[in-house]
Amino acid sequence: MSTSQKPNLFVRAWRGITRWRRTRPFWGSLALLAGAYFVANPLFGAEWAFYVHMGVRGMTPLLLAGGMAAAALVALCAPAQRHFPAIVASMFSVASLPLANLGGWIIGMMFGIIGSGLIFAWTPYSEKQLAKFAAREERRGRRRALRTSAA
Amino acid sequence: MKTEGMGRARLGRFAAITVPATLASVGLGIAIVQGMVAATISSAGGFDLDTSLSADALKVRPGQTQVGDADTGKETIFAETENARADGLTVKSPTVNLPLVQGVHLEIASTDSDIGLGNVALNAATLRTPDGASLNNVTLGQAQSRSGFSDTSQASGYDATGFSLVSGESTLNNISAKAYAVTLSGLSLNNLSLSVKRS
Repeated sequence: MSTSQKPNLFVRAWRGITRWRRTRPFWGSLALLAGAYFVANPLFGAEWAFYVHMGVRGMTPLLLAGGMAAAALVALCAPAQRHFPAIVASMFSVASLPLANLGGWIIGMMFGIIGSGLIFAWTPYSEKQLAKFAAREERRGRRRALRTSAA
Repeated sequence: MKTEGMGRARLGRFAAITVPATLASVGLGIAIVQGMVAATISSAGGFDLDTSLSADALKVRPGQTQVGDADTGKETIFAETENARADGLTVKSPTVNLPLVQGVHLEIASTDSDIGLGNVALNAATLRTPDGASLNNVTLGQAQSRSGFSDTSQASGYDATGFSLVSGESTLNNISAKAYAVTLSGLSLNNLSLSVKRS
């Protein structure tokens, strides 16, 4: 490949990000982070006196949201460890309904359940699947070459 | 091009987590609505509460709570009721700014005329009853230590020798309150509507 055919820096960076995104449960982690945000959102900006007044009840939404966010970050940064955090995050999401402003006004709980489900559902392709994809790519390449030569 | 390390979400595994979680949350939701599980709502920004309330007993005292930058050190109304029943209930959450749909809030409403609330503790910035209220056996100016408040922490504005109002059977019509915290010992209603609305 000549230098002029090399993709520019932006294209290369975008491809790198896409590759990074596809090697981990990216959308599930984002959904779970959104769930954590909505669960904790009503308490953002509160001062210490608020928690003193509210007691443990006031802290619960923050603890649940913290657990959900930590699970999302673990899944994002260490995809191999995704299963246990996903299960815990789904439990936290369900627990947020009675314990944290009706599950962050329901929205946070829904994002949490969907996000943890997506994280748990994410699996890397097996050797067999990769071989199948490679064979399909090869067939397409051959067909393309035939069409080009016919033209 | 798919290479080693890449992956995708599988529907069966997705269902393995989401189906039990959804069933559990629906069960918990029903338990909350039936009054079997207590729900706690608290917000630093305050939320709007509209209802008509009747209770076997009502205790009111000044309170205080420091919430958010705008409302720091604001005086609040601290009210506790016993065996409260509500006629219609609307709770509006604080406005949340989302990237695409700016400024939305969640509205939880019930048109039931007899909602069982049990014992309620309300900490509100404002509480208005424009259509009047009726309070029986009112004792005005009783020391808070003699009124039997359940929350006696100083951070909540409790002052043993401070002012309080105690009444027996009470009816508060069309309450409109900006509340910071509500604790319900239960919630028993027949219909409930949830909607996301633009603020």
